[in-house]
Amino acid sequence: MAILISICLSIFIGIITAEIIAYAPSIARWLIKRAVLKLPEPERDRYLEEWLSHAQELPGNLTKVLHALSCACVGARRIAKLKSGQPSIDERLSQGLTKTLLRAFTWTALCPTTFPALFRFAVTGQTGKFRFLWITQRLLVNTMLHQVVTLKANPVQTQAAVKAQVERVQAILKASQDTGAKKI
Amino acid sequence: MARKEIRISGRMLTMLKYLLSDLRNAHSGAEIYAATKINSGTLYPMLARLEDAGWLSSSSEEIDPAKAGRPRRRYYVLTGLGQSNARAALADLQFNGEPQWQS
Repeated sequence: MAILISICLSIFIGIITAEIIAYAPSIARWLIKRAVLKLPEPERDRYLEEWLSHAQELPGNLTKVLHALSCACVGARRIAKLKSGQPSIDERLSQGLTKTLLRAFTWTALCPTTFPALFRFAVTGQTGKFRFLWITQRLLVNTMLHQVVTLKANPVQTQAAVKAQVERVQAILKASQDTGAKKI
Repeated sequence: MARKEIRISGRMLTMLKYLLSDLRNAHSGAEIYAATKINSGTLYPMLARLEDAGWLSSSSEEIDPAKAGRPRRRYYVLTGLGQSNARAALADLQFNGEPQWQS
């Protein structure tokens, strides 16, 4: 009985495998059609044609499926990222690292100037002034980092952007003082 | 289109070496795959990056897919810029004399 079951099972598995292999080109075609949907609209027809012609030139049925899987899982995603103009992981890592280092350097440089004032505001309970100085400092540092790292601006442009932010902060400060004076 | 900088990996060098070895003919993705064994998921993004950077130019095969009974191939060929850059990248790997650990 066991022998009979094993013979039937092997025949059944053989039939199923043969069916799957016979359908492999269709599976590959379906995978490629799904893969190109990840690409930007203008690129779809080009890659559909190219990947299908590549699949047709491959000798084995399973190789066709592997090619299609590779295109679907990796190729399409990478090409989509490339065509959308997003920065690569290397660029993002280097930008992040540069920002962290510059931020640490800037804060260290600013500490001797602003720390005494911040400390005084904190000790005397002047939370409004403390928060204002802290937020302004963060705003100016972040503006500088954005200009230098993300926009790759030159020193003159960076200085202009920081100066514009300072003027904006001064205007806000002046407006709040005016409002305070009116209330009094 | 803005020309982008290219980060050259080992696989890219293999592909550039293959393309440099036969400059007279244009090569399809399937031919490059057969010669270099770089899988499709890596090969096509690499070709797209090189094309965006102006190292490669590509053109579709001029056939009627309905008559030929197959989709059109796309052929790639190194441009002048691509040739000079590929040669420079490969030249960087050449040894000048014996490696230091052998002397």
